[in-house]
Amino acid sequence: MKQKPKSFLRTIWKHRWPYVFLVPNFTIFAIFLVYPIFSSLYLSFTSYAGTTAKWVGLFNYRTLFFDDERFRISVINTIYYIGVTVISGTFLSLLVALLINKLDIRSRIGQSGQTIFKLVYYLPVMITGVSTYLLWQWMYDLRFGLINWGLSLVGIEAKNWLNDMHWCLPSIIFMNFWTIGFGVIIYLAGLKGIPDRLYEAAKIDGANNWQQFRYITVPSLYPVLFFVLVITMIGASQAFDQIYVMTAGTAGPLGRAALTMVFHLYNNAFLYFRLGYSSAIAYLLFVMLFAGILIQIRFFGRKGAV
Amino acid sequence: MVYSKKKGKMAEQICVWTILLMGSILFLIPLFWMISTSFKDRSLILEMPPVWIPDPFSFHNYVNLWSGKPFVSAIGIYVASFPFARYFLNSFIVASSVTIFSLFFNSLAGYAFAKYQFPGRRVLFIFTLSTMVIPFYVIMIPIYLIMRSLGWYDTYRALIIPGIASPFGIILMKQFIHTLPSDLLDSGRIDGCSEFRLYWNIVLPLIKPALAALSIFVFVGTWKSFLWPLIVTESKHMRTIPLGLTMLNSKQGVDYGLLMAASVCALLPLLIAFVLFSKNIVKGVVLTGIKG
Repeated sequence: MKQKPKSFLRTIWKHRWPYVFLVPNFTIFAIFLVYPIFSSLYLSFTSYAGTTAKWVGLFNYRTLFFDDERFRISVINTIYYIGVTVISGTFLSLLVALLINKLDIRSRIGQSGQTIFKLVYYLPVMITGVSTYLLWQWMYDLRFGLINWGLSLVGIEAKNWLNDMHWCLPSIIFMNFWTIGFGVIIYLAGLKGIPDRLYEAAKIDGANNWQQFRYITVPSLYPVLFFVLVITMIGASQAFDQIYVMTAGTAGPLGRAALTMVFHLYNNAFLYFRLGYSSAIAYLLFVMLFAGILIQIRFFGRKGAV
Repeated sequence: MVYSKKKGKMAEQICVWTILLMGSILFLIPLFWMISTSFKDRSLILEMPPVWIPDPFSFHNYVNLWSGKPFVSAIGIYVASFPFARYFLNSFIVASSVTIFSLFFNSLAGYAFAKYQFPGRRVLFIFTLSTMVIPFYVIMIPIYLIMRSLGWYDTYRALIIPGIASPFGIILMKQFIHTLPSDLLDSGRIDGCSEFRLYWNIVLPLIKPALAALSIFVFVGTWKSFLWPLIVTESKHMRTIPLGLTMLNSKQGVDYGLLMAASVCALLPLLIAFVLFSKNIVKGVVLTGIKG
């Protein structure tokens, strides 16, 4: 029985090199990822303003659910934002991918077409950040913005998009469509992986285009769809930069048009210094996200997907 | 039958091309507009209908931006000090450091996962995968507190170190290194090569495409990073470009000419990276999307 601890150490020594190679990464993971996850959970049960943490049990959570109106608004805004972004973003990027895939790669013009369009649609993904948020803010300007000017050409009235209670979030979501290129690239690769003979067999059986799409294309794309949907969902749940830059979190008449949960978190943590309270918000959002991911697994978790 | 099929196919191709082309033009207009605005004087910016090609073409905004001297912006506000060059330098230092460290540590880790069999390998790898699902806001407050207690607040260390370990990077490296023939490594061992030199002299040169793809992702991601620098820096001289840009933004009035010039400059490294490495990017995105 005394053999056990010795052989454990011996095994570690035998495999020391891979462990050594993993040390830098996993040290950072441990300090800056694992510890914070648990620390955050702990903080959510405390009242902490930077000096001493006082245990308050479920007080933060209770306040969030029953007493914080802004929180409730932020939840609605967040669900709306994630839902619309994920669904319409997926729809659009799949559409563009299907179109690009339709280009005949047997001809040289079709081939270069695919390359060119892939690059053009992916470019915004590369450059999107504070710079482009400011650009879009300028385009959404009430009097001199490009978008209102363009709309005036077709007779639509100008709006103060980013300050309007109903149009603020949709405007930001619309701007996010500029980055569908990410999904396009991945769906394209997925589409290319579908063997032609499946379609040929279906055609022989008399399937029309819609049936081919529904019974061959979509099921074959389940793994890819799952991946893109989850990534998009995680990204949408974290959306902070755009909202901070374009609205400073105070859009609309009562300053709540663009209040998402992450922004509510930020305000509570770095404006009001209620670090325990904001940790509770963080965890609730995390739980929501997890539920969303589980739902995706339910829908797309066919064999080989997860 | 065949003849009308061919015509039908051509019509379809033309249709698809037209739609994609229209979409592409729409996608590129904002970029063009940004560049155009950056070369305008105040009078041109506020002119309706919009002026697409500035006449007079003015470098005014760029000069003010990089000179760092006090100036009066187009909306009449006196800007005492806007050290854009410093912000650019900060972003560059941080992004480059993170990229270099990231390449080194993540390829090392990927190599360990790909070419070694050791107890706990599967568990540790699944752990790595699952860390990708963790959103930033969950860990945001604790790592902010860690930075404060370590005394790293408002320093380069805070900006650089947390960004080094990238689960995405490890996975990318592992997938790629996996495809290398193990015989190479075995013969290296027979020749008496140390384990680290196996990595440094044999594996690294062979994974250059993967390194290129990862470096682009990491550099670009770090360059654009906003929320983390926002909460972990305070002094003017530590700001990165995204933070600096928001300093020019206000609800009272914005000098869009200056702002667009700053944005264009902020985008230049990203555009250069895009032009140089577009092929690798597509490969990298696909590698994770399909295999992940």
